[in-house]
Amino acid sequence: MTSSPLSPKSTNKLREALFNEMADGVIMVDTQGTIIDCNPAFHQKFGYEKAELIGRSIKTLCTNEFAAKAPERITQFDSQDQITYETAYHHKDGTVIPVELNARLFESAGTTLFFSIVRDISNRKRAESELRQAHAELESRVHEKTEQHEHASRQLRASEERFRDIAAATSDWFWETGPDHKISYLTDSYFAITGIDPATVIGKSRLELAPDEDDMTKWDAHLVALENRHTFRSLQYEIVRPDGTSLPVSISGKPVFNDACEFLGYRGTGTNLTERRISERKLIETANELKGVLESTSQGYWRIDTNAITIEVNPRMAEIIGVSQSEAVGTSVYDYLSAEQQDLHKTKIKRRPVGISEAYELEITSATGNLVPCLFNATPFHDATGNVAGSFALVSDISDLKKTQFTLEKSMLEAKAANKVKSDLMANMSHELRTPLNAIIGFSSTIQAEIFGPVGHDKYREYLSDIQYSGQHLLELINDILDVSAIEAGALDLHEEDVSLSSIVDASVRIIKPRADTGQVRVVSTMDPKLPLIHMDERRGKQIILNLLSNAVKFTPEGGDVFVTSSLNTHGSVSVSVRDTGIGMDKDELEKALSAFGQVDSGLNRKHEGTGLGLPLTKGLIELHGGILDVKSDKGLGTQITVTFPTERVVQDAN
Amino acid sequence: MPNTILIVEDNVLNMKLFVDVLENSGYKTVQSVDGKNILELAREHAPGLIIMDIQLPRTSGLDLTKMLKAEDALKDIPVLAVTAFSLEGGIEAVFAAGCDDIIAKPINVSDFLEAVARYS
Repeated sequence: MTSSPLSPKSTNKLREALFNEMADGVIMVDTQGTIIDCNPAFHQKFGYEKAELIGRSIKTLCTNEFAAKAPERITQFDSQDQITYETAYHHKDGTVIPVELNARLFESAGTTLFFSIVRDISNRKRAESELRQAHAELESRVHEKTEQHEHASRQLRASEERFRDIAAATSDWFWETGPDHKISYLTDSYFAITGIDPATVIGKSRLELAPDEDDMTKWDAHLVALENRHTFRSLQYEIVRPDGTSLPVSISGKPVFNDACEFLGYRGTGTNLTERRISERKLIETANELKGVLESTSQGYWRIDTNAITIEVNPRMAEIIGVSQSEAVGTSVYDYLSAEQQDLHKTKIKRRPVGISEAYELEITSATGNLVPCLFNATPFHDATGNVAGSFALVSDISDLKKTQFTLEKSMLEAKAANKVKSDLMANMSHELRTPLNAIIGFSSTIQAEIFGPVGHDKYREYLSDIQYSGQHLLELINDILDVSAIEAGALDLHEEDVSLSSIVDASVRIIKPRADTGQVRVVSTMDPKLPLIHMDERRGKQIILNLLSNAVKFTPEGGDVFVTSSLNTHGSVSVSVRDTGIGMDKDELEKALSAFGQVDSGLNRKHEGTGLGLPLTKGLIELHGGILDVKSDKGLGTQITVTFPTERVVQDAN
Repeated sequence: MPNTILIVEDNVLNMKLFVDVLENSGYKTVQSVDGKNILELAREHAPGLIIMDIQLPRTSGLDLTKMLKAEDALKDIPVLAVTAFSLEGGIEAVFAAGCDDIIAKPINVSDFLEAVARYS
């Protein structure tokens, strides 16, 4: 202890005053922890009277947590004469007050005492706690921010990738230029696409790469855009390669700034236009070709919008509507159509938007008042987005066609009328011819039958027979003429029923037999007994077969044969053939035989009496049944005529 | 009493032929050139057979036959149509009109008499 300048008494007084007036609590404890003394600041702080605390263990004030640490602290005094630590004491009301303790050890009258200054650190603790909380909050916010940042950068990366993909799909290479507009960066694809070494390009401005003779107004505009830091799109020019050839390209770019808004240069994409140029050229060529065709064609070309307003006409179309090509543009289709024709056109044009192409006739009233019948061949056309933008029509002037058609129709009507007159005349005439013939044949047959008494002389009988024969022949002629005329006039009606061809052939052979016998011609019929029935006109069928047999017998010399056969054909049709071993015909004779009255003109007539109508009539009759007549003939060897009834006339067996 | 036959025929020579042949064979004939009064004639003479030309200038033989067949007192008299096979409607039309038989013009006297004999 150092000696004090003060007297011990005054020192004690000072100490007491200090002890009692100190704002901090002061407490003295012996080594057992028993409170020996404390100042007012201390007991008041913890809500006690001084008397309540003296003699009490300090441990009863201590919170359990800090009480446990006491022995450890005491050991600290081995090396230090004072220690400072934080602890907490219970207030009398139970609340805990954090305190900072400055304890020192001193000897007094041979006893070791602990002398501690106790400072309330509630405020400090609160501040500390607030600080910690603020810190934690800050930390969590930083964490959150970091997360956000990471998310943002992930998104950025994704969008960058997306951008790259899109850019790669729509462009061929990327580039960057510096603030001086010199190329500073090019992707590797630049070389692959242009064949130009990027090293020869880096550091150059774009204008330096362009041909010297390039259009400067384009470049001036571009340079102005660069100076104003404008985004530019599709700057098209040709890069001159080191070998002198050039490559058409399209460049788009966007200015780049840093955070401080300083201009760093441009960045963008480039595209090789070579292929596009080729297809553009082809397109132009095609368009020119088409234009050429439209200019020179004899067909009109008329393109209109959806309101029927003319967009374009070719020279021929302009000629048809009677105005110049340029005058036509903007005029309505309806300026050239009568009210009636307009209605017709309106019903037609309605069908265009749904994509229908069609041909129709319209009569154009030209600007000069001419009426021009036209054939329109209209087709809708679409704009780039696929919507119907109007229609175009190829227009043919069909005046001549109409005239021809009219003439044709007129002559057809005339022909029909003439035919009607002819067939009426024929029908009339045949009746008129037949009536006297009835009398001739009737009376001569009466005399032949010697009804009123005998005929006197044999010569008369012979003449009667001649009259009869000639009369019958004339009758046949008249009947054939009538039938042929009726067929030609389409006036012959069939009376159809299911008929057996075999029985028709049998009956016909019976009729022809006497004539064949007279000419010493053998008629052999071998009809298929299983031949199906035919739906046909029986009388006309008999006429067909009889005609064929009669011709065969007529043109077959003595000792010859006539064969009648039938066949059921693979497709179900049925044929009857009549083959003879007669004189046959060559090609010319055959042609003649098949035309009406052909035989009448031929030299055969005198030898082979007939109407000359037999074959054409037979052909007409089988054709009336939907069948065909087929002739095979060899001059000198014979003729085979086959008539075939079509499948649909063959009656299907019920079995 | 000889059988009476009513003949409708516009052609004078044909009529003469029919009349001569039939009367020679013992028939009695009643003649009409246009069939105008055919119903009266049929009622009056009650013929055993009517020979009917089909192609007549005014009313056709088919229409006359229909008129006859429509009258109860006359419908049983057989009608023998005489025609060329050149009629519109053909044989069916002849039978459809009510004719009982048909004989082709021009007639063969023997065939004709044979047909007449079947109905008289």
